[in-house]
Amino acid sequence: MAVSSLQSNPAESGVSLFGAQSAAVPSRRRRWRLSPGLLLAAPIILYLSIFFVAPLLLVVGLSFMPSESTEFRFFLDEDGATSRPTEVTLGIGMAAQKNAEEGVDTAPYGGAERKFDDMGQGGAEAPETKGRQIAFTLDNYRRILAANYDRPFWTSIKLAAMSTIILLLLCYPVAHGLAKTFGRLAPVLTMFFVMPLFVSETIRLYGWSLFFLKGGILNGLADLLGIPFVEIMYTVPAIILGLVNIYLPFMLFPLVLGITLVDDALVAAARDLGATRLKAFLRIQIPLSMPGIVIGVLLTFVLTLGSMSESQILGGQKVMMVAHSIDFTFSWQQDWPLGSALSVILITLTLIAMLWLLSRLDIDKLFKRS
Amino acid sequence: MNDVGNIILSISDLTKRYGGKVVADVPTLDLRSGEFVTIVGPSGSGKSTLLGMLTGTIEPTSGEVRIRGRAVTDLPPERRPTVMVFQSLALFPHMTVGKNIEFPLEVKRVPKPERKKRALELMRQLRLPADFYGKGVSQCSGGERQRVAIARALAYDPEILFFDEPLSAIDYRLRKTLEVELMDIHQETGRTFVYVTHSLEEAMIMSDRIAIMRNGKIVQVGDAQTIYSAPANKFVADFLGEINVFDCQIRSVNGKTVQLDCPDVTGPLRAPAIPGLREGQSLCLIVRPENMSILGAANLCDNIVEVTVEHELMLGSRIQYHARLGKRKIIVERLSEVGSLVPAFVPKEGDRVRLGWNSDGGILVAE
Repeated sequence: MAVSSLQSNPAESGVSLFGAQSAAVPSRRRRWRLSPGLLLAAPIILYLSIFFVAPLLLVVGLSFMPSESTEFRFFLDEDGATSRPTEVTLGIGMAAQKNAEEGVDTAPYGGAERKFDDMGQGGAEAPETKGRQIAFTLDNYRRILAANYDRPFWTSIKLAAMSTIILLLLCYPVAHGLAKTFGRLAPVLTMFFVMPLFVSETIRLYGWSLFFLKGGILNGLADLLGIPFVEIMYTVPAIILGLVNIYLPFMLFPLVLGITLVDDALVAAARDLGATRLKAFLRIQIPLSMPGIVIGVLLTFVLTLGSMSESQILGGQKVMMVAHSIDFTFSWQQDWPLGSALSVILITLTLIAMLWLLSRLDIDKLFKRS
Repeated sequence: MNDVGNIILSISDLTKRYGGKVVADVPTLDLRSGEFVTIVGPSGSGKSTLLGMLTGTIEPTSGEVRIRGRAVTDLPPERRPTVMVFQSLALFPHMTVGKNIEFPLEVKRVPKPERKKRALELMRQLRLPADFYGKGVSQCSGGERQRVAIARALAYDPEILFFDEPLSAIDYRLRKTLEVELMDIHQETGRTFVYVTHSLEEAMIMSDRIAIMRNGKIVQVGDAQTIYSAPANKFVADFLGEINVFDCQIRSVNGKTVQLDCPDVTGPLRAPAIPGLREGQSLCLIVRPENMSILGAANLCDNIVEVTVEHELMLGSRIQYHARLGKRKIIVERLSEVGSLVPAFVPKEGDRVRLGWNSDGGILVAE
């Protein structure tokens, strides 16, 4: 409708310069063009589409490539070769251009999405493609299931879930104190919780390992006090300890926000109506601080799921988390398609976790509550 | 209720100190069953502290609160047979109207079907349509929200309902409607209502009895008529709204009338005597704007003062004049003459005019 009125506008405006319609149409055009939201979001949209969406699509594409290929393309070469080591770093654009030069691909020089469309519509009909083998394969995903590559996933999910639960239980009381009862002490304590963020994660983790190592600080302290030393370095508890330590602020601050949003009068009203402390907490405070809980759980779960240094530094090579395994596949194994497939599964898992959690409550409704 | 009129709540020597400062000091106050009592006072008068001590959220420094003869001073709010309607109403935003009303019953572990039955009963009593049961509280209008809050309070089956200025944040017209509605609800439920507000107007409209507080103390308790016609002191009189106060000294007492000396006024002012007056005593003479009139040249009155008119304010049915007498501001009113047969004398701003009132139009109060 907007398009048709825009087209008829020049003819109309000559006749009824002050007509309601001709006055309304240009104002609508101007409003759309200067939409401040779009304007302000433009840099980040541009940034994300170049540095996030494009690599993401490349990874998704690569995950469907035959094993050991280092570029993304639609068809195998005539000789069936899959690898062109010289083009490793050039990626999608150069490969497509090369195909175009050779006259094998009719698709215009452009983004991966566009090519996918072409693939779907005309792959079989186009005469040029006759006799060529389509490069896409599900081999990588099959390999993940067949060769126990799924184990790091379970490890990661288990560790992420455990550290998220520990963090939630650990942080809720502290967050309640910061939001409601600590008063003037709260900003000071907040500083203490923020300060570790100023120190690099790796340094903190090596600090922990110095603390836990045989012959480290904990060992020394235990000897001093005559307590038997328990070696926890390179065990799952050590990793969880590291994860809990590193990701604490990501749970704590959303919780503080969530609890701050709970009107004290509501809890007081519940108590006045006969509810015990526990009942008022479970029926009023928890549901009303749910936005904070969901955001905190989401952040820590997603971040711990994709974490690597904790398992590497505190877990040694005994426990492999999925990010570590992806890193290994890309760098040591040089198997980009397999690494991409692992990444795609990780991203999908993250997405599912996120959507599931967000669907549990209507955050908008809770934040705008009257 | 068959026990209407019996004492339901009594206070003895209740005080609250913060540090060395006494914020509330109420030697005695009795509330009767089924009464609508309003505690009124300006901010900082200690009314909220008193309310807190009555509901159990504030622990008194000394003294006792008894409900039906049973001391409840040490009981927390959830163990008292009273319930509070908060200023914000404190409806639970994540629950429906029905779940809000059922909350006290849920806490008492009343079985579900019975809860729902009781909630619907209360909704009918408060004229909330039954289909509101599943509605979110944020979808309700201001008046509906107030009724939900009261229904929820009644579901607790309290001896006394306390209200902490629930109408203060609501616009004028809705407030007027809700005041009347609250009176109706009080009538229909027959419960004891204790209402706290800073608006004496609100108190006068709704309550059976009013307790006026100042600096932590109750300065006067009485029905609206008593407080209006015989304010206990200058503070109460001032609190009643626009009023003229003359600081006077008693010149002489002659039977039923008193002659008073007042600065800025030539000649004595006359007022009806009150018991226990002596000559030379300092008092305040209070004259309401509607009891004064602007005199024509020929008019005579018991009391006459000469003033300069400064402002004329059109109030609709009345016209108000702000005039100056020495350092004192005098407010006088007359009916606007729209539709009146006899055109009154109409002063203009800057005019010198004579104001008069008969001696029975003045009230003597303590300073």
